[in-house]
Amino acid sequence: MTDISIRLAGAAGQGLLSAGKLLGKACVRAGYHVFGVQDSESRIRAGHNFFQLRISDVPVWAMKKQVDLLVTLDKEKMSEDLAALKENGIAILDSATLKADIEDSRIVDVPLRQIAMNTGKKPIYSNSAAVGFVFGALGLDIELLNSLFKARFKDEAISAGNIDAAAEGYVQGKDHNGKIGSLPTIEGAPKRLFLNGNEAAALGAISANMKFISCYPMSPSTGIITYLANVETTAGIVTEQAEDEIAAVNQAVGASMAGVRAMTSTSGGGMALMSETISLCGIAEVPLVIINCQRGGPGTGLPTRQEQADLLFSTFTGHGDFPRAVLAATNAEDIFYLTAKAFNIADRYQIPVIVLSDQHIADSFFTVDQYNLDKVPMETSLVSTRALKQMTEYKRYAITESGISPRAYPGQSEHLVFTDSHEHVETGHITDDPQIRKAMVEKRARKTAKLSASYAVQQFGTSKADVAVVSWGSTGDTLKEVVLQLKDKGVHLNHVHLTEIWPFPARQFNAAVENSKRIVVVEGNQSGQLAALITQSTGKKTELLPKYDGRPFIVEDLTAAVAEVVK
Amino acid sequence: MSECKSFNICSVNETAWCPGCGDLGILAAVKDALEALGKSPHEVLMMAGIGQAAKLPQYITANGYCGLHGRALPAATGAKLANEEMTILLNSGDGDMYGEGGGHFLHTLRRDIDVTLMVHNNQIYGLTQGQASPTSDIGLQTKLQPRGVISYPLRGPALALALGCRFVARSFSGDLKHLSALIQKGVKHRGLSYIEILQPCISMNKVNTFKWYKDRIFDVNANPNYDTSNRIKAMEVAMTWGDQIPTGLLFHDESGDAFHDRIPQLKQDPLVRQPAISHNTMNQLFAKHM
Repeated sequence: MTDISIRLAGAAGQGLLSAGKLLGKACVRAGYHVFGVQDSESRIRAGHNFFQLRISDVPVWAMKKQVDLLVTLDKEKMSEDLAALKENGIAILDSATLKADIEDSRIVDVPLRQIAMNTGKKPIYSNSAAVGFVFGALGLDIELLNSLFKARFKDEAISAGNIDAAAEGYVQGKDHNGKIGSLPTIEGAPKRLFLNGNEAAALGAISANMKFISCYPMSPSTGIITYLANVETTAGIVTEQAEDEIAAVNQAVGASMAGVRAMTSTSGGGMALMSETISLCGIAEVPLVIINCQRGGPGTGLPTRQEQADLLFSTFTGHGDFPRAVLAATNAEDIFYLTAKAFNIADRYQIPVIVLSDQHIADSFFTVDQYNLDKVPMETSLVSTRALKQMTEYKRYAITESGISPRAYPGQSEHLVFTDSHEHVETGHITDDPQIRKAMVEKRARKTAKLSASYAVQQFGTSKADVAVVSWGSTGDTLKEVVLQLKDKGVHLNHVHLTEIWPFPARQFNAAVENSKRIVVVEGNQSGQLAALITQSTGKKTELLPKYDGRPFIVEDLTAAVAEVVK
Repeated sequence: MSECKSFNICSVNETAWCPGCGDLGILAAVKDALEALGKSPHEVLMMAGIGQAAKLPQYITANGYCGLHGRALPAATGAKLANEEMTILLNSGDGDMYGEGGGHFLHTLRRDIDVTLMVHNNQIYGLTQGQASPTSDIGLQTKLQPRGVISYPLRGPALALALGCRFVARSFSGDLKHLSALIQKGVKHRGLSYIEILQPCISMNKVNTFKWYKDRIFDVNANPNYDTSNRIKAMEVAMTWGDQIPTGLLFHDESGDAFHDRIPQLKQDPLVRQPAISHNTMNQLFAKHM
């Protein structure tokens, strides 16, 4: 198995992300699976950042601690980066530019700046020289890189500058060919996508006929609306940057009430501001999708870092009693389908749906098989205009057995539609009659049972194993790899992964852990939020493997931790 | 005056307003204006936040939306962008719009959404039983401000002018004809039409009574030389408050376009009638990541 990790390290603003994306995309085109992780501080320039790629001939969706190749453009934390480099790895740096004087046999001094000046005549081409070196060292087809440069830079001089710098780097890299592995083009490999979780979520939303999104910028969620704003005329959607999160979510509610699929995205602090509106959607029965890209909390917390600590908040946010759905994505593949599903759930059940993403999913780049649009059906509770016209009477909140009322939008027909956040009668008008109140509360509550029954839990590994390891969100892929590695060492585990979390699918979960004696929940928070929901919903006791240092789980560390627990 | 048959609510939905409340006059004027404009109830969406003024959609035969305190304007923004063919009117109080929703007031004026915004200004919080509002005059004593209000009052029309609003008006709940005429003009205006409506709160505000307003208001448009196209002059008028309180159409600029006019995706059909994205277009978007 090919498994090569590359770290590009430097200061913010040095173009690490662009270089890393380019390298990743070229490897995907060469037929490999690439997983790219961004590690950055909350600042615009300087600081120490890195972009780390893991390249394999089999799917890889988790990060490794040790890298084979290090490209460093910054000496600030060079010793930390060198510590992450394997003993037989290569570190590329330009000692003349960095003025660094470190004795380390793994360092290869490449005059990146000089190459840039000799070829493109501008220091900015240093990154391309470095990427070219990597191509040479790994035996990647340089034509893949050249075509990406041509597609990216319309200006021929800029494109040529990059290509020339890369070619010179490539020549130097070739001297080290084979030292850390080789990445020849895999003939006949299927075309795959290379994208981050925010882009995947945005694509999932458009595929589900989302027409309106309003957001207030907040890391790490901003990439969703940024992506959508850049394709809005092609996709036929409207994007709006609101003055605050409260405006954002209320604009989405207004659009949804008026008949289009609408959403907002934010992070935990922004969703806290949306709490009252989530509750409004509960009583007014307005479909709404919120993507919460979790980051380290509480308060301002760690704006650019990883945490999975908004699960209980999402499950219980909003005053009063009302049904809502909470889904949690694993990676850029399932966030596409899960976001589309969120729109169907919101629409069909007329409830708020929260899709939990996190910094690790939002900012990381994944290699995914082409999305299957046939797996994105349209499920709606909207009454057809024809059916509506045939109705002699229309009641927005008609009490039904399923709890789901026929939904129409204002202007759809001559029937009037009244949407109300007060308790209301069937036509939507304000009331405080105790009988009607009771009937309406019960009508709304009836929607939950069917939803929970429709959920599935995912199961990997050995279902009969004594120990069940349970995950949700981006932890799932790392745990999946850990379970595989431990299996090779003879340790069998029952891996249960949840993406459809609330209303909690207790029956399905109980069936999945039926044969296991212990339940160990692996999650990125301190208190054990999924563990709490499991105990609350099933009465089962759990053990916890938490992580709350603002960083995602890493394969090597988690393998050791799980092995220790099951020993 | 027409009889406003079609917008009268048919059911026995008694209002939750006090007998003699200024809101009753505003309700009558809204119905009168919509009738005069020849609108049908299904073409109209009455939107509101929360408060006594915000109950108005409950008492009129039309589509309605009663959302959250202070948040009617963002909801109206979303609704208008989803379906610009709806005629949207919004009723809000001084607490709802200038207090809780103050930020949205500023930014929705900047956007110039094509809605008619009526702010019922009675200079007091009625529904919560009589506290100062953002427009209460200095010195007004309430249960919560026993030594009198010490913050300066917010002047809505001046704020609207400063933020580029192209339709700034003020009326009085006691003058149905005046108010109805302004609402009609406002609905026809392509952009945000803002009408502040002075209104006595007969139960909670014993200072700013019907007579208090009646004695002070004067219609600027009664002067044939008043120029509604001069923003700076209008600002001077909008800052006037005291023995003389100006009403009427203070400023009107018909030349601009509304927010949705500036969005190319909305040039053909409203969003609500646009088809779902095609697989072909989705595949084009996917290709950029391959």
